[in-house]
Amino acid sequence: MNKSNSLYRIFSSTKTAVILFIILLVFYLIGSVLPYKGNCNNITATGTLLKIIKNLDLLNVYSGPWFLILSAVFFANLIVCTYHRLVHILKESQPVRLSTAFFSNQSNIVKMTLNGNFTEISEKTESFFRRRFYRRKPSVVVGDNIHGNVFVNGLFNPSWTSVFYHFSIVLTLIGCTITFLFAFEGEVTIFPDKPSEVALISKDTNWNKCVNSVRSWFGKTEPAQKEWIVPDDKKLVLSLKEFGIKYTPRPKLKDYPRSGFIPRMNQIWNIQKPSTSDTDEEKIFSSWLFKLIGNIAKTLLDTKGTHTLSVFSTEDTFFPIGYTSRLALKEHDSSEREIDIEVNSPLRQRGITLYQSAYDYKFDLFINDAKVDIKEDGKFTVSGIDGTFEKGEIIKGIFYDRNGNTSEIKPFVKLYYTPSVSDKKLPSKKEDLVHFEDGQVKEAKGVKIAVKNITAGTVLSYRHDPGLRLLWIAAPMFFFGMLYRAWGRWYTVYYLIEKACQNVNLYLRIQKKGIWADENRIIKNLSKRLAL
Amino acid sequence: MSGIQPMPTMEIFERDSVLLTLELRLLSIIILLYGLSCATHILQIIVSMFRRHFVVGNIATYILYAAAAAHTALIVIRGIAEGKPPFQSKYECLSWFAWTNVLTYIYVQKKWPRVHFPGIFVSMLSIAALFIATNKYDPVVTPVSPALQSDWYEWHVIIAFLSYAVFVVSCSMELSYLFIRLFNLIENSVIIGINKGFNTQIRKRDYLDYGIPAEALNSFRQMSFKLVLAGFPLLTFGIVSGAAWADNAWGRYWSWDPFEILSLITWTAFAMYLHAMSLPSWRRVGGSVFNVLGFFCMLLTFMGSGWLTRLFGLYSMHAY
Repeated sequence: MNKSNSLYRIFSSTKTAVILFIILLVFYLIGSVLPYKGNCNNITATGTLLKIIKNLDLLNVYSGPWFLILSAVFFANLIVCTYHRLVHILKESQPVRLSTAFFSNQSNIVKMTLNGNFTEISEKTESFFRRRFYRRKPSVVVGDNIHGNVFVNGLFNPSWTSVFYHFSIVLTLIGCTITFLFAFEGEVTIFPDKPSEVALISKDTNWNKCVNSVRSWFGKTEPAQKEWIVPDDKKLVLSLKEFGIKYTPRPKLKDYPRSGFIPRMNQIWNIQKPSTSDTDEEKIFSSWLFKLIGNIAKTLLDTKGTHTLSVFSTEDTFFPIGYTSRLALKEHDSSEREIDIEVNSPLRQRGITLYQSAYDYKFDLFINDAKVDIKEDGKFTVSGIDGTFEKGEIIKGIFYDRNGNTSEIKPFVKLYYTPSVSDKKLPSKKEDLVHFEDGQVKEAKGVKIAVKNITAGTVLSYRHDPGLRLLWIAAPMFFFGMLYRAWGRWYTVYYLIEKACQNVNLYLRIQKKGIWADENRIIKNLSKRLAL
Repeated sequence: MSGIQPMPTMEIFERDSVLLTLELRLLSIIILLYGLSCATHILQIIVSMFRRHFVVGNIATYILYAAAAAHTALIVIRGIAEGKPPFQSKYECLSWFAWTNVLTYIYVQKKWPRVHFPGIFVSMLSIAALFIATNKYDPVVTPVSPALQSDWYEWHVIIAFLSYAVFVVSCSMELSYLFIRLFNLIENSVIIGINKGFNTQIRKRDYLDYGIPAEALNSFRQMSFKLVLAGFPLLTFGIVSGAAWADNAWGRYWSWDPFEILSLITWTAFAMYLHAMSLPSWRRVGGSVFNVLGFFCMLLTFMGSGWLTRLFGLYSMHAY
């Protein structure tokens, strides 16, 4: 047997697919426990394990060579399997030879003995399937005084659906490959009066990196320090007109234990702890289970009283329920237009999609009338005061109350203070300082603190993904193809009608596919048709 | 023309308090009913070891029906209180998961009314889910964060949980098939030993003692395969709709997030199962192994992703 044939047999085999799935599973497991695109310094592995992780580059498992090779092999297996099954469907099948011997060698044969005319029964049986739009498959009847046929339902062979959705997986992998090679993304923070640019092209795609690697391999490298200049017609200029956040109060449950099944059951059913003054009899019957059953019965019989849990919210709970960026978009040689971007409502423009990703704030902080710079981690110190101050949440937006009222929130900043402790074993507790509204001056920790010019900025992420269109085509193909194949009813019916002495024998064999397929229904309906 | 006056905030909180109290009390009664059903199913198995008698099992099934009805009422109350389908928080997701499991099992169980093994697994899983929900998570109805305000999200959750429920019932049936065969083997070995040793004529046990005629045993196992065949497209839709939602909300349809990878692991495990079932040499053992593996992967995806991310210090946008 030559190698190409055996290679074809390996790649067209379902067993190969199962083995490849197992290997893929191992890769997925690695990626689910090791931080993808993480840093070796941040993981806790040491010694041999760390060497293995570094040498095999397991922190970049999905962009590393091993996974890419495995994906290529899996892709080849998928293509060859799909082709193999397509060839099998298109090949003209030999006619089935129907005879009594054929049915005696098969399992799941149903035999019906009928009183009636052979010709009439043959015609009725054939018309039963034709009326249900079954198609005849090529068959040859062997023997005298017998009539038979092979019928299949549906407009096409169910194997076509299998080819269809396997082909859609091929398209999906092609789409993912296009994404891998040509997609790029980024993030831009925009404050009012400081427009930002978003480029519609990027030099940092994997495709460009591959091309540059190949060029350097052939000795043709890009000149060093060549500046990447994005032409004006390949840019979008965005200016922030307004950024708004909607808030609503976050409800809490009063006196509800943080965790614990029994403490929570006690609270729900108002089971009190036994007090020291209870009598012995009360203590015996005060076991938790008795109290629970008793309170359940009392509640169901409506003699318990009006104990309910208590839902409330406080003035300082602000739960964000929506962010909207109102922007002015300017393209080369066109006029400015206003656009809105919200979470789950991105803007798609010239191959780039802009998403509402997050938001940012800036403000000026004055301690004793002197401006203070806050570090990137949000912390700052004040001379003469032991400990660290920290910038907390900044609230600015519209407040939507539970009863439908809205009000504009006076913007404020939360500041925290953490004292330094001499004993490092004791954790220092972060203290919530007074909230600072915009323009307000307050005293805290012996100093005058003022916050001014609280300004909200929007953080937009953007992405260019040319593979997405193919995925939008492949995904419904995959889903509907698989759904149709799995949930459909597919039958292949072999039957033979034999003229016996005074009766007619009907032999029936039904092969079925699909979860709703039920051969007993066909047998029952056919029996009714033949008036059994 | 006078408009409808909005309720004052205090009255809204009072209404929420009453609804939440009613809901949590109903939940504890449901846990009790699931527990009773599970215990009665186990009792039926014990009774089956001595007599071919299914009354206890029927009682177990009726208790499960009562629990399912109560749970449906709970879901409706929660939906009314929230004003949207109740699967926005982990607490609600666990309740929804238990409910869909039980409803799917009840639908499938009608075809095999005397087989009570799967009822044990399904009711145990539902008890565990509700117990974790009551023990660990905050039951208060919270507002929905902006990322979850998407039609894709709702379809993603409904269809994904439906697929989970189908896989739970499939695995229950697969394990039941294995247990019945194993129990039968062990019991008959013991009976043969006793008959030989003590010269008695104790009747050997057959599959009908567990509620399945011998000729229907393969059909029972085939049901497990059909369930995975039904659930696999649903799981695929769950992953695809999740990707569509992620693309709309976060700008990337796939981020190799631990939760996403775990869902892909589940999908791959069931794909392996379906392929193995088409190979005669892999069908017997491989099929059962992959079905159970897929079930555990599904559990890990749903319940374990938060635990996994905390254990390994990973970031996941799905950890909540």
